[in-house]
Amino acid sequence: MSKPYDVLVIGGGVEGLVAVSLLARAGLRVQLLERSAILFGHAGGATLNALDPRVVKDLKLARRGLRFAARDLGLTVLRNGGANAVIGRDRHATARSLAALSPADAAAYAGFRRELFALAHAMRPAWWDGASAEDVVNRFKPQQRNLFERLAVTSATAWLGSCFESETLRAALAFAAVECGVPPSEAGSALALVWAAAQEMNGQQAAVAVPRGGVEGLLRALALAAQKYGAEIRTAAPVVRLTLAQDAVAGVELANGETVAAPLVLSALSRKHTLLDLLPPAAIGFGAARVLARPVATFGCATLVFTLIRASSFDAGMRFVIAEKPETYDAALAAVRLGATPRDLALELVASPVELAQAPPAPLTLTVRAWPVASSYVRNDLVRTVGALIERHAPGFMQIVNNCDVLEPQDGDAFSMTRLLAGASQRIETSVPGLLLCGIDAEPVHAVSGRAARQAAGLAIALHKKARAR
Amino acid sequence: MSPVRATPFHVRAADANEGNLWRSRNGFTLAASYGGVASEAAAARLGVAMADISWRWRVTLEGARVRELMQRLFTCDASGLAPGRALKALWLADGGGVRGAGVVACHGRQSFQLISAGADHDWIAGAASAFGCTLRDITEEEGGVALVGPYAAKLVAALGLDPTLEPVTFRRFPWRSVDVTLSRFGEQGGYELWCKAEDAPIVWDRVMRAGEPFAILPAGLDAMDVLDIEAGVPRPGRDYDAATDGTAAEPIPGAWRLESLIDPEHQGFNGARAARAATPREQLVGLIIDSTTPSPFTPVMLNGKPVGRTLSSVCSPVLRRAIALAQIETALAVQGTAVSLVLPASRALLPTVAAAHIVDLPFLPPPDPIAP
Repeated sequence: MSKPYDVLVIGGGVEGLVAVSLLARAGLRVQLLERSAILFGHAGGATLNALDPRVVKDLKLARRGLRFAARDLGLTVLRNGGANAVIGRDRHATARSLAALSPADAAAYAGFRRELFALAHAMRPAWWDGASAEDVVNRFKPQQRNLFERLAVTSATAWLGSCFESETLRAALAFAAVECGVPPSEAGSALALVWAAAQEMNGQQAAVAVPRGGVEGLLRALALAAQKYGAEIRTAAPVVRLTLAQDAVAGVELANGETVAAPLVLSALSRKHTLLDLLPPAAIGFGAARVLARPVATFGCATLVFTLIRASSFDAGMRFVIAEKPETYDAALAAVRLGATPRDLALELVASPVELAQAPPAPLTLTVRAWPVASSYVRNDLVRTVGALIERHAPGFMQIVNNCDVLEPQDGDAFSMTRLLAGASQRIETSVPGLLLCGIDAEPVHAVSGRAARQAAGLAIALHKKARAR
Repeated sequence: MSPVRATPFHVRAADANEGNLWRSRNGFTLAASYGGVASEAAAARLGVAMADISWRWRVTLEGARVRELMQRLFTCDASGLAPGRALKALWLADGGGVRGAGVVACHGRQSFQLISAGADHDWIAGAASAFGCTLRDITEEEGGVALVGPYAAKLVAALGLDPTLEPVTFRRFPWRSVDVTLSRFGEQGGYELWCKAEDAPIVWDRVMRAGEPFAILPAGLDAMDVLDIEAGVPRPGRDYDAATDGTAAEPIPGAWRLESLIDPEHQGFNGARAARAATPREQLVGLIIDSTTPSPFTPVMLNGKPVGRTLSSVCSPVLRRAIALAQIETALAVQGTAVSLVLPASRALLPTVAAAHIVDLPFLPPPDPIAP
């Protein structure tokens, strides 16, 4: 057995790299174990909407090459056979644009945004600092508390329906719920819109940014930070088992039979995989294992990256949502649940910015997030369906497609109000002493923010200090 | 109306059930009493009685990792048991709540049997599958009778079986063309005789014939409940609701005198940490009531304040008093404390108060066996 580390981190995505960097920065002897031979494989979508600014600051990611090609993408609402509307940071321009859809909606939008942003800002202690939402809400003024309690049992579709009359606008705004992993017609999904609005990119609330080089650009900056702080990164090291001693974590066993000892292990893998597959049978308790083993929703957001031979009609620096009306989500979900392939999906499109500074220039891409996609999807059918939907707005689009990569929906915990409102320790700690979760499943919703990793690292540092003091 | 689920002894029990009194337990229809609760309970305490216990849930657990399963599932470590040996244990929810209690018997290197008063199929099956083991419910495949009373050993000898069996062990016998298992799992110090379902009438007849010199009586569920309560044994479903939620923290073992079924040396069983940390606010005690009228599920008062409640209550033929299991606030559960029970009003009577006092359990020790 090799010399023990203070902490091991399993999984080399954004979350794993954030955790290992922060732990190394605090002076702990840490090793990150990544199953793939390379750290930067399929990194997911092109945009970031929730990266914790404190992660960027603490790890000095700007110094390590993190740049943004676009800092605040406007949202273009695409309409079939009608004028498109653009929702951006400039409220006057947004109002003018929305007036083409509906003058009433143009007037209502500013109030909606004000109410949404105020509640989102008030919820930050829960979603940014890990306090329990109950404690945070208890300090609200009655009016805000009433709004929170109403949204906690309201669907995004219903809330947006009470605010706006344009179906296309409602459908476009509802896409934020889908990004959080919850169907917009589900009770409580209105709060997912609030969560999205509570995020901040480049100092702007609810902004969507495109890092240069995509999410891979962020990963490279994080890897540099990890190396700078002295973390060991080990690739091609799949963990097959967590080893226990007296019911507490004692390290990991790798696929080659090697054991690596550490009293603390942070897993950036899914909760289910970590607790059911890596631990000895029912180490978390038979009851908890039964709950985790239950089949969860087998659909989610798939990402399709179209490589283009020339620029499409979708402007770079803008997000486009294709969803005809709120019912589009429900009809598509019903079809997926019946095992059929829906004809209409909800799509979000982001064209790659033309990065002239790069040499050679990066290939032109259009990244499309499609919802809902069953985990049993047929690749060619999905590409054809998405292509046909895009062609409604950009005729001839498929003729300029050179290639299409499909990243299937991520496996993980289903959206739940309990998780959205839980304190950080409830999401991060497990019933096995020394084992913490730091991946997407430890976030309030499925999103790449690095926040759970930051909180898990903080918890691990505190546990390490406590153990040393003993 | 649900159909009758008969035990393998039902044909004989129906013949013997003079009052046609029946009761349901674990979904089986069983004789409540064959000819009188008091006489059956007296036979079990002073002579010998035979009771149909086929209603008990029985499953076999088999697989290469079954000993690991035993270690993880039960509150006493059954992984080291040799074939023919058994132990009594609980299984707990993650939060330490009691899901069930039973006897774990080792049938082979990779084969165990669980016998319990209450079924918990999904939980045990889920646990078994986590260790790659298989669970088979054999409740309907076999029948069993308990032989209870001081003359039980003499009866077993008269049956031609070897009564020299240590408590909490079992042995299989070929018995005049019938394969039987003789065990000593019960709280009453007697024996249990298990056989294939189709052999049950033969076993019943042989036992009744061999028991004639000892004035054997068949005992119904009511008489067996009297013995249970006299022995201070709480039962799931009758006295407490076993945990059904996977993470339940209640019922706490210590609140039901079940902590003796947790081996202090055994580590790592499901719910161990929570169960050991739990402090019960109430404690199981016995109440002897100054009356012969049982008072089940009645508030217990001390100085005019409610301090607990009675659970099952019966009239003990030996004590000639009504007795009750009760849960009383831990600080007040002191032997000899006088309490009162508020008996509910009826059409004819206003609410009445009965005097009672707290005693340690059991009310009565098991009958002294008379050597064969």
